[in-house]
Amino acid sequence: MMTFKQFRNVSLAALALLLGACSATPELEADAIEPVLPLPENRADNGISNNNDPWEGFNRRAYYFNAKADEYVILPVVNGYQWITPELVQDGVTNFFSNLGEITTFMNSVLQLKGERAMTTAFRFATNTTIGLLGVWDPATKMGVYKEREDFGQTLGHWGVNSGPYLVIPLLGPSSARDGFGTLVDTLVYNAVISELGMKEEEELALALLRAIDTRKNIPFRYYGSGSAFEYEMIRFLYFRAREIAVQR
Amino acid sequence: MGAMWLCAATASAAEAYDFPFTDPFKATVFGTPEAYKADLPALEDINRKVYGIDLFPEQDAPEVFWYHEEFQYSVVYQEKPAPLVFSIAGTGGKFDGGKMTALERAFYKAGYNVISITSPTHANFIVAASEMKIPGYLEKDAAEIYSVMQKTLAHAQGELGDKLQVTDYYLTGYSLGGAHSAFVSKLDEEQKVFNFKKVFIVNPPVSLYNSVIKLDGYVESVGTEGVKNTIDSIFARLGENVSHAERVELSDEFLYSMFVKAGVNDAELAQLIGLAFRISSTDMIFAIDVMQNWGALTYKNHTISKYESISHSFARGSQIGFLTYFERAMIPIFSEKEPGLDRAEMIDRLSLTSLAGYLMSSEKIAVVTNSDDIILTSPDLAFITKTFGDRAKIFPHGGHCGNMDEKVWVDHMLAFFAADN
Repeated sequence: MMTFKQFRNVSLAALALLLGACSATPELEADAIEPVLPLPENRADNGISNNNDPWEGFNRRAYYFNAKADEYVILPVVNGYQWITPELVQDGVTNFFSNLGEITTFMNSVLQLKGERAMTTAFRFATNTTIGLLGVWDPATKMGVYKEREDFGQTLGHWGVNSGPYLVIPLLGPSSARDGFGTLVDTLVYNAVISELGMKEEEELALALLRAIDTRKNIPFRYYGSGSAFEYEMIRFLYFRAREIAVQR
Repeated sequence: MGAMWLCAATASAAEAYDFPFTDPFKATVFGTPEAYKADLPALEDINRKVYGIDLFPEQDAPEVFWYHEEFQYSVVYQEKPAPLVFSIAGTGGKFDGGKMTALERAFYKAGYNVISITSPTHANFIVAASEMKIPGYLEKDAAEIYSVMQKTLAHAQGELGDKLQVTDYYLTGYSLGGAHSAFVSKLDEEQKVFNFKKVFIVNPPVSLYNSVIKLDGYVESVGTEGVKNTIDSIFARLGENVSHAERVELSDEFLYSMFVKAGVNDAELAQLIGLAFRISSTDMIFAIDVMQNWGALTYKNHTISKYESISHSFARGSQIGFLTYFERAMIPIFSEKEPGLDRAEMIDRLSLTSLAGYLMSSEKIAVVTNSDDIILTSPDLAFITKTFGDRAKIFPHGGHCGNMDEKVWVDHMLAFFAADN
């Protein structure tokens, strides 16, 4: 019987192998010639061309995979959903899941000892769940109590955990080692709360599916949409910068 | 009743130009704030399709550009006979950039069909549409644009049938696309495929060389390391302000308010503009390098896989700008093809001054720019006034293309196209 520690070590080793196994370094032909323009010395390590990305081979494959998943499955489903669903209903769905998201924001505010934020989040959840009819409407915002976002990645960042390497998560998109782990924790918490509602298994599945569709619908980003060869670099740069700011808040 | 109607009409026609930024750098970076924008339909609410055409069916795009197999464009259609505007994007601009879609919405509302053309300096054009694959030579670019216009129109008509019925042709373009429009119009006088009725040139460079020196200068004056420090500093201040903001939203207004609080100054805004231009140039040079196998910022004789890291190419390429491309690629290549073509002559050809006679005599062409456009020198402005006379509209403020969705600006554009002469 494997102990937890052994299991953890084996899993981590397998993950490291998976992430590290794919190469991003050029496989040069015999007659290939070094570029004429030199590589600038001492490149800053958090710039566009150089960032914390040891798993780049895996990440670029995930980036490509996500683009194809978007193209063939996700976006057609999202478009179909938008086609058949009245806008008012779509907004209600967005508000509904946004309200459920207050649960993890509350938990993470508490974990960061941000008392006021925990209170306003709790107030929003209580108000929107009751007066806002299970979160379909957002009266709390109209009362001037604005939504905050706190996730477990931010909580770890708040307590000094570095972002760690860049990580493009299959289907989910740009993240980092820290934030990917954070997403996992937030998802487990969210699922635990949902399972308290005592829904049937297929109802839970339908809810999860609707949540995924709603999430993608609200993100205007399209893989390779800029047409720039360096889009991957730009997104990586902006991801780290945006998360720094999110942690700081 | 009639008099009242007349009064109302003159009052609205005389509505004053209202643009909030008197600082050209702010105008260029932030554009027109929501409250000052013309009232236009949302992009989702207009008849619009995005298509791709495989213009080189006999060859595949290189693997690193797998997503540029087809040339992409958008078409806006009226579902009844209507004039069509061809619109050309600026440096590094794609058919679906913000300025391009703002034009589409304005023209759609005013009853025009539109076809939006990606700039010849964008990778999609270089990879999927260009025979020459060395953009920047305006006259030669114009020939390629002209050919692409015909192909996209034929394709769109094939796809849309009766929904796209064209009565007359119009032409516009902003920034580099404005300069391209002038050359395309000139070519059309000879080939007469479209017989453009009106041509509206927006914030063009008068001399491409002078404008490039200005834009590249914003980066060169501090170096890429200096720009990096500026970006770091701006992000740090933004972060500080976001962490104290009462409410965080991902809206233009919010981001703008954060910039204002961060006290980003003109020198820093200039570097941001320079950086954006530098990134566009690096994108362009990378695409050319791959297509031509020059080995400048990529490995020569090497097929780049779609999973391969090309960050090193960005690092190499961002050290040089458009100017280096002009000096080290365009001049030698074109002077080899045309003995006797020297540097000075080349600079002259890449400017509207080389078309002065045509632009002066052609009543159908108008230009709009701003007296504080950062890509123009004062002799450039003088050239515009002298050459276009009363066909030049020069707004006092707006920077470079910052006022393109301001109400009076949009009205001016539509009035020029609608006028009879």
